[in-house]
Amino acid sequence: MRRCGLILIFALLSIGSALGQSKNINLYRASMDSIVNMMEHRGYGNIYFVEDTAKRPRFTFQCAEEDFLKVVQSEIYKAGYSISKYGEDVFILKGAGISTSLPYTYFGSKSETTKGSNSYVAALSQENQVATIQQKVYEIGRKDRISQDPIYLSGIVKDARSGEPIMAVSVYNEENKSYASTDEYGFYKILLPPGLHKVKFSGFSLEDVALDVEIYESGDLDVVMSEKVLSLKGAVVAADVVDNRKSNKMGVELIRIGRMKQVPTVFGEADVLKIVLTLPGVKSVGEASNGFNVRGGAVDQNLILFNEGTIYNPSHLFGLFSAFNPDVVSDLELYKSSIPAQYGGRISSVLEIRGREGNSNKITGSAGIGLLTTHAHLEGPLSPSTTFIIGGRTTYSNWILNLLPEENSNYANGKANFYDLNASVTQKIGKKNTLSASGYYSRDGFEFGLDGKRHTYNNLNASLRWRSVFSDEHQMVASVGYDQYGYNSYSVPRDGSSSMSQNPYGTVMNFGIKQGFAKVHFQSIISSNHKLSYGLNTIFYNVNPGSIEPTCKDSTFVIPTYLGIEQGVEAALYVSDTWDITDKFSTDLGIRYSSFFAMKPFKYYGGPEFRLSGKYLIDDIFTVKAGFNSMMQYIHMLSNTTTASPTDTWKLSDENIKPQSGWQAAAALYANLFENQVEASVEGYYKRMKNYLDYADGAVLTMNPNVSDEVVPVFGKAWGLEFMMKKPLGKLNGWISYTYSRTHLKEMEDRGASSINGGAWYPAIYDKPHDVKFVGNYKFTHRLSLSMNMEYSTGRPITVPVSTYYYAGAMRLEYSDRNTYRIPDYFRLDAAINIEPSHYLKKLTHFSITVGVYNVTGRKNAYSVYFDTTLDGIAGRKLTIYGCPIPYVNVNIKF
Amino acid sequence: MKRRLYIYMAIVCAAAVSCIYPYEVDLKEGTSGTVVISGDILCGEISKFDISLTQSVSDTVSDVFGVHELYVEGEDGSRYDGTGGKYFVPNHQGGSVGYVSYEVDTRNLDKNIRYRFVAKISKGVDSKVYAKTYSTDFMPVLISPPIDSISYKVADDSMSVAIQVTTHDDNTPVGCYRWTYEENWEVVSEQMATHAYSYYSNSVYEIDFESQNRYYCWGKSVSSDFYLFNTQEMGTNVAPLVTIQTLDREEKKLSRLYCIDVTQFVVSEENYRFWETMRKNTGSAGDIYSPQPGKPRGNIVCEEDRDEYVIGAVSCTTISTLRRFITREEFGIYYNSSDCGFRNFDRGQWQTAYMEGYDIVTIMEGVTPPYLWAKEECVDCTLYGTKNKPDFWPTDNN
Repeated sequence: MRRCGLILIFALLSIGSALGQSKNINLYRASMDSIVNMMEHRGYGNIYFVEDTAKRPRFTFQCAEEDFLKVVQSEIYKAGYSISKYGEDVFILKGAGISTSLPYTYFGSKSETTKGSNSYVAALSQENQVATIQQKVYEIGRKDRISQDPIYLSGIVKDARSGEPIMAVSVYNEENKSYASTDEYGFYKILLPPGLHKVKFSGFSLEDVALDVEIYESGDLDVVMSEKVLSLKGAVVAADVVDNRKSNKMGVELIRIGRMKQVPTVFGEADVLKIVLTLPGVKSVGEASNGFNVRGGAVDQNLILFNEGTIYNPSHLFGLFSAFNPDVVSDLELYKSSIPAQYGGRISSVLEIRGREGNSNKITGSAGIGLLTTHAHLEGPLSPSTTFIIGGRTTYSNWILNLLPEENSNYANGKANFYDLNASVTQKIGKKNTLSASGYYSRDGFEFGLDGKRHTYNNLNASLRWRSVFSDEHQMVASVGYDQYGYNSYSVPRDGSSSMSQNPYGTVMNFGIKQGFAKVHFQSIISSNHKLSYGLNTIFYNVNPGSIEPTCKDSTFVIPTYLGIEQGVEAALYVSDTWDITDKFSTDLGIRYSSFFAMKPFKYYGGPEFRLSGKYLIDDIFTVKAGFNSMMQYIHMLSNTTTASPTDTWKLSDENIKPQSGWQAAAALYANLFENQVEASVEGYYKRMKNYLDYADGAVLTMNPNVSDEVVPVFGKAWGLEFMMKKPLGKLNGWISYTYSRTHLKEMEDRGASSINGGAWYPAIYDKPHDVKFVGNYKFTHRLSLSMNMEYSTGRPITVPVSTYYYAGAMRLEYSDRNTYRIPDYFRLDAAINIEPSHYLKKLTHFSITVGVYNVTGRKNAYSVYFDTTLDGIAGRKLTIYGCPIPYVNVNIKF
Repeated sequence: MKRRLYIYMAIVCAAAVSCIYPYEVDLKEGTSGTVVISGDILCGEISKFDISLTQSVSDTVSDVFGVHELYVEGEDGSRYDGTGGKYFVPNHQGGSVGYVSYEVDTRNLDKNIRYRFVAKISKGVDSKVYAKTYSTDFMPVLISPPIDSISYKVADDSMSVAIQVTTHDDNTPVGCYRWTYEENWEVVSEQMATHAYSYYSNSVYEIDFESQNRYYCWGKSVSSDFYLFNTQEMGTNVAPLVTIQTLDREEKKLSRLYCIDVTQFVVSEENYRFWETMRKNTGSAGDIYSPQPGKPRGNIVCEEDRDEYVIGAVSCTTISTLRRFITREEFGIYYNSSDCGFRNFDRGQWQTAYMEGYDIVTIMEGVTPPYLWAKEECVDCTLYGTKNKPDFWPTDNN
């Protein structure tokens, strides 16, 4: 609930005569709006009221100006309303007054409102008052002044508890087939014909809001939505069911983090990236792997953005955890197919992770002690228009390494640790401008055993964003920032005495990427059929491909060696039009022209990228979409390990290494079944890539001045079909998906006998054709629910021995062509029971318990298979990361 | 301010979560017949070359092949022919593959000129008519600098010790090194037995300690893994403290006197990649960040078909060697976990005790029964070595 500026517009008119009188006030059948407005004008504070729409009161009285407040109070009481004060805020409610001891957060956000402009509709509490609101007719504009221009209803959707904007809430009017959704600032804008309409707001795990809006002119209506009190923890569903009908885009998945903290995960620790892996079309090479593969793309072909900054290594602890603290993350969005023109620089997917702005109502926070991590966060308002959020995580768990097998002596005596820090401040400047600054830093360190090698790596991001709404039709988001990723590998041979800084043989190898970026993005509504997005992105890269320095300053044995800095500038201009051709047929037509300037020696690459998609609403049930995307990528990861390693290096395109490019064509059919309760979809895609870099056999990728000789450019082709059934609501909710997908690579140049697999197509290491995923919740009662997670996939390809030979005193193994065999299929089932013993709002402490088991069946899934020679011949061995059921109990206490 | 406290608890399997398990794989589609040439042109030494063909994992019989010529050729036209050509079928780990071994007398090579390796090999048939020529380009003689030192480093937890080698070369800016080694060690039993037991006669008899003791033994092994270092990463040509062997504290090698003879080779940069690929293929291939196995490619080509894949990398180098003895006391970590206490058995129990792994130590009057037995691993050193004492061994024990 919030101040009633909406009604102010009308109130101003209706009380005009009253204001005109100097000493006495005469009111005849004045509405509550008029009364409230007059009270506000007389310094009565911020007034919130909810009117009984069934019986609208009319006030007729006469009084002296100085008695107005006294009289009006009496009149309001007589009309069956109460007046309650809470701080500077005044609430006028039907019936008894509200108890000011209720949690303050139930009263919506406390943001500033400019009189006479925007209006708020505010929820008083989660149960009754929302219903009251929905019985009210919100009038916007005057009936006698029906606008000839298209009429838009716009506003901001906020969370009732924290006042934070909520993104991806569907806003729709069914009778006119008008759809919109809120952007990352909670802003929506929907086209409506003049008249009375039912406008619905729905978002996953939020209470639906249906408002009666009588609209004659464009106007604003802010809406507060509240989380379902009895929502099921652990429910994991992306956008809601109407989403596929409103957007022209395909293959977009949205996940809200707060709703899925209790999805069964290993050790019960909430994890952002592990959730991404439950989506169809997303794969990884194994349970401990950095990054993920989207629709046949490589790990380095995903653009991972966190508050606009690029994250090069999104994992902690060998990929067992993601580098994002769930406490400070609001939501994430994965673009698998239709990638908006504003994004570029990677050819497979875009994962955008948005941080939270912080509670705008009051200071709040959390602290937690986990099995592996300790984390804390604090958030709240610094002033009525400024919010902040800070958070951090760390681990104290060298013991994780003890869980890794000792047979591989590399891990014996190992140590590993990490921490990450986040901070963000958001400042609202007036109604139309928002400024936010964000910072992120993460650092990992690990070392293994006797070899004296120690590795550290870190991500650093800092960004500043400015969003400005110029007018109803035009808005802009501009951002600048700095990103850094780097690692250090220390090699300090143990000579028994000296420390690292004294060891004359100690070396440290450094690698680093630094980039500065500036982006500006505009959105303009040109007409009722055309929405235009356009903008400019630039990134300045500075890559240190490798340097060796002594750890001891006086070392005479180690001479610093530098490979030389690589620099480049990537710039792109883009424009995209969302064109509603008919009621049923609409398209997104985008073009992005990207350019890359490699420096020293200078080399230019560039070209147009096309982002086209369209949808056709066949009937109320079926929607069909199709799209085509082309992308360019100017930075490449060089890796020859099974999974991306933190010590992999990145390389800019130069005169020898051409940019990667790729295109994807996709088509999809969506069906909303059982009155929108179930969404079924099938999406198919075909994708081609070129100049993706695979490694040559025996490649030496670090500290190699001629690294372009160690990698070979390859063609890639990927195709697949993704079937998905999603049921976001109800006792049973969740999704099930099946994916058939293939990814093959082939060398672009003929290198004769040295060509990988003789120059033929070969499967990529993440080529896992069959993939079934199930994520579900069943609510037995309000207090008890069951969550399940199931995943099956074909084993990934490996290279196996095909022959033996005698060499240098022992039998050796000759390996097959690359990736011609497969490890055993992967299967895992996780289950968790969520118990919420208490739903009493007034209780001081609330707790919930999650009892779960990761890998219920204890299947010993192979992470990798490798081979040794023994006296009996060749022995195969498999490494299992989590080879037994891992039970956990998760107690969550709030007070 | 509203505070939240999250308490997470988890009960994790007491046993290790991650494990390595045996994995049966049906390797049916093997291939065979790739020429394998192992050996280096060792300037100043007798060079040894082993020629074989790869054998399919699904076969037990080697393909037929013939070596019809094998020689080292100098740029000046000098030629050093291989001799021997003996066929060996060693029973090594991983099965048995026959190979033909040649020796080439390269003791008098001139370090200032370039040499190449040539072999004519016929595959599938032992006939010179079908032989193809496998050769390298002419290569300069690489000079191996002296090994600076062999050292050891006990792990912080005293559970193991690493043997390390250090070398450097002031004459060239960058060096690629490869080491092999031979280990010899003297092992002693925990109990010095004065008697022996005969199962068939169920009798205990006194031994002649000098000639019959099972107290002193000698073990020997040669390296089979790949120990490599590329000084590219140092900026100078120094290979410091490169670990070439790691010994667990319970290993018998540490039980009395340990000796390691290290041989150092210099490898060309081209061949270093071959060795590095061999090392990656042989090493811990199953780690999380393990490099994926690949096809090692060296500097040998088939002249008739340059696309033919050949396994082998022949370098032309001098070698350096260094020997070091290290005593049990110097290591200071040897630990025997066996229970080596005495058990008394009377004659009726001897055969059973012997079958259960006990052996006689001595007869001690005044004890009933007077026959003191102990676990055989505490009595019989031949379980860990042989009675063949190396010629160079410094102790007088027999």
